[in-house]
Amino acid sequence: MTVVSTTAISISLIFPGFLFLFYDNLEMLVQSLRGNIQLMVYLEDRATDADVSSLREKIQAERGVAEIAFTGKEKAQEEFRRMGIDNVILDQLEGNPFPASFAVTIRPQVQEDERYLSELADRLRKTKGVEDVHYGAEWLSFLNLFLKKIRAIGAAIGLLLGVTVITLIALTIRLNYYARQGEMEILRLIGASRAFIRLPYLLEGGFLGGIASAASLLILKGIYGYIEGHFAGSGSWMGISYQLRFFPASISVLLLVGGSTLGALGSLISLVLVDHE
Amino acid sequence: MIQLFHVTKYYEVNRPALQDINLQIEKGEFLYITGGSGAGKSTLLKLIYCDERADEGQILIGGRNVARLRPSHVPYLRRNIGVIFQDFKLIPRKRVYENVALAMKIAAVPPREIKKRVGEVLEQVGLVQKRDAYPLQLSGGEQQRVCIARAVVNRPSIVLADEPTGNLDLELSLEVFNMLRDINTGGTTMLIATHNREVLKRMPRRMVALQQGKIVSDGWTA
Repeated sequence: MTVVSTTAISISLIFPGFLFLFYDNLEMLVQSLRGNIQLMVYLEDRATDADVSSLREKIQAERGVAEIAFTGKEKAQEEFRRMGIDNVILDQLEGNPFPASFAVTIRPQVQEDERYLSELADRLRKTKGVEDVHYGAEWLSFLNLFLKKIRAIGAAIGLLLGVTVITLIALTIRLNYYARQGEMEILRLIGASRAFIRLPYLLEGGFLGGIASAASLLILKGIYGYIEGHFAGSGSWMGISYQLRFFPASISVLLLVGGSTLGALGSLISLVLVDHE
Repeated sequence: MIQLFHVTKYYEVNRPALQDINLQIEKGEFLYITGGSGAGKSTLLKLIYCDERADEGQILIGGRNVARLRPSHVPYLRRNIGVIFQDFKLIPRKRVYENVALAMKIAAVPPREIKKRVGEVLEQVGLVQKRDAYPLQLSGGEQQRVCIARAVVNRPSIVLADEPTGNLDLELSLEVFNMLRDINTGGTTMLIATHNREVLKRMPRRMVALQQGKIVSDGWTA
């Protein structure tokens, strides 16, 4: 029963563990995106030098702006050519299709303030000489929402599986308790306190929970290794650089402690129930 | 040392297992409690080590009424009373040494002292050679000696024995009683529930006879 329970608990911990791992990596990606938020202000081709100069002053006066960098039409084209992406098409085009732009770096204090960023983008859009403003708002909002959903689903599944783990351990401990009822009666008769009799069962529950957590962590590590081996562990996707990581040691330890705590809790519940029978 | 005043215990309404028991047992005394099946011998011992609670009366041990002892204090009382059971009550998956040492572990005795004292007691009951055996590898007499060793290892002031020779032949029974007498010689108060007439004859001591839950005689064995 003990082996069966531990295996069942390990397996049931893998799914929320995997979800947590996915969430952890996604959150890391979002954090790195947030840290690099830039507003790209694209200028109209007909914008005059005076328009550009006035726009520069307006942007610099904004409280959330850390710095700005101007890229002229020629430089934009040059940079695109340097990237080596389909220069053939570019050569066939008449004139320079690239707009001049301001790259506006946002102060860290307001990087997570979606409302401010949206209002700033709207204000700049309405400024004379501005063609459009991009800052990946939709993408960031989508990621934030996605993270929230994953967090909620993870919490619900975690709660459900937490209850499952507690129930499985409680059942195991209860069976072990009944199997050793004769022994416990002897202990009681020769002067053992309740704590002395019960402590081994609490420890057993904690140990089972810890072992199950450790096993599920090992399996997750294996799955992670497979994913990392078959799909690059780091790289760039849609212009966003990413770096996958397994749980850091602190989170692994936390998961082990969590598993042990659930196990001990399962034992405690089991012992309380036995008491009330 | 042990005083019982008007002690009554019911398992069934209107059918007391023990009724109005009054008894005084002096420190270091060796006392037999006799009577047929259902006379109340085991119940009397159980009341003393608080495995059962008296419905009426007082049971004083060293001046303290154990009949009203709080459940959380019962283990402390039991650590000062050694109990020898007819069915030995040894833990089968533990070795002889571990079974005896368990009583000391429960009393939170330091490991070094446990090692020393368990060795002494196993020597006393003649089981040093069997210290690593499991109970089921021992004869009935040997198992009872392990039980005796466990009962006395904490040097209790009182030892209760409930039909300690119920499962043994006469020769082994006398061996066990001699062992109990030796322990009593060291000053331990000994209460032995038995109906082994042969032993009573060969080792005369004070005897309290019970019948249907009442004391019918209290005096020396003939």
